[in-house]
Amino acid sequence: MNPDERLDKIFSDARAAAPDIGKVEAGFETRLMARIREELAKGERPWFSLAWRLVPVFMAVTVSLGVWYYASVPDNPVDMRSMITAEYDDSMSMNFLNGG
Amino acid sequence: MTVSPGAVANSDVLSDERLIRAVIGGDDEAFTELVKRYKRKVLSTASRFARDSHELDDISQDVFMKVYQNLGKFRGDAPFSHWLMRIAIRTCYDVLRGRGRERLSVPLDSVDFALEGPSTGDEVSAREAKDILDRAMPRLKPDERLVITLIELEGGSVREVAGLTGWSEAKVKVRAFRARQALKKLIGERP
Repeated sequence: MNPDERLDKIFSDARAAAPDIGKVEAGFETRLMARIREELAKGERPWFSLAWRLVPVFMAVTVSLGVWYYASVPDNPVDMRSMITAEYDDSMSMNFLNGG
Repeated sequence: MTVSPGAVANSDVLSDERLIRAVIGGDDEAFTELVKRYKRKVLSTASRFARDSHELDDISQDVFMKVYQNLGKFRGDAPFSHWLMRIAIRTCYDVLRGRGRERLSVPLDSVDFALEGPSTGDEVSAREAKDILDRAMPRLKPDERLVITLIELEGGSVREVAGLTGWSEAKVKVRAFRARQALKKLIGERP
């Protein structure tokens, strides 16, 4: 038997010897889930689960900002052009006073 | 999305994708179901690289931990089983690299090569073949060992192994060839 044939025979025979995984397979998911719970208790939650849990927080922040915005808008809002112009005038006045 | 406990109990009808969405939604019971579906596949592959049952347990748990932590990154453009096995193969490869090439405490020539001859039963041959490989494989480089194991013992094609490892088919072929050469040399070291 040449080396190639010998090696093929070894592989062929070894394939027939399926590794015994029964001992590890029994209760595997129980041990795994216990480990996962342990890791989670240490605060190592996967990022996506944290993201899902933060959805209500983001919703609350969005609603609060919306309420605050509408409550703080004046009855007669200054239009954009006059706001920009007023700021420009202020800036020119400051430059003049500072000798700029 | 959360799947109700009743739905998980009736999980034969649930696709992997639905279970994955349930896990992402915080349903750990759905993850247990995924583990039950695929543990044999992972354990079977990992057992080719583990030195004992404790290490097999550790490697397989590491695989599923990585799956659990990265499930949100699963895009679903390939089957879940393929994504899972890529993680399993990568984990096994990392274990092999961590070990490096091992020196043997028992020389190969102490193994009795009783692979030929009419008196050798199939079961005995299988056990002896496994014994020979258990001693010879640790002497290979990690990448060579990974490739030759996946092709010769797990029955994968070059293309499948390339897909699982992320290496090119040419690279897989070269590594398989080198592994065979090294094994032939090791097995031929008998006096």
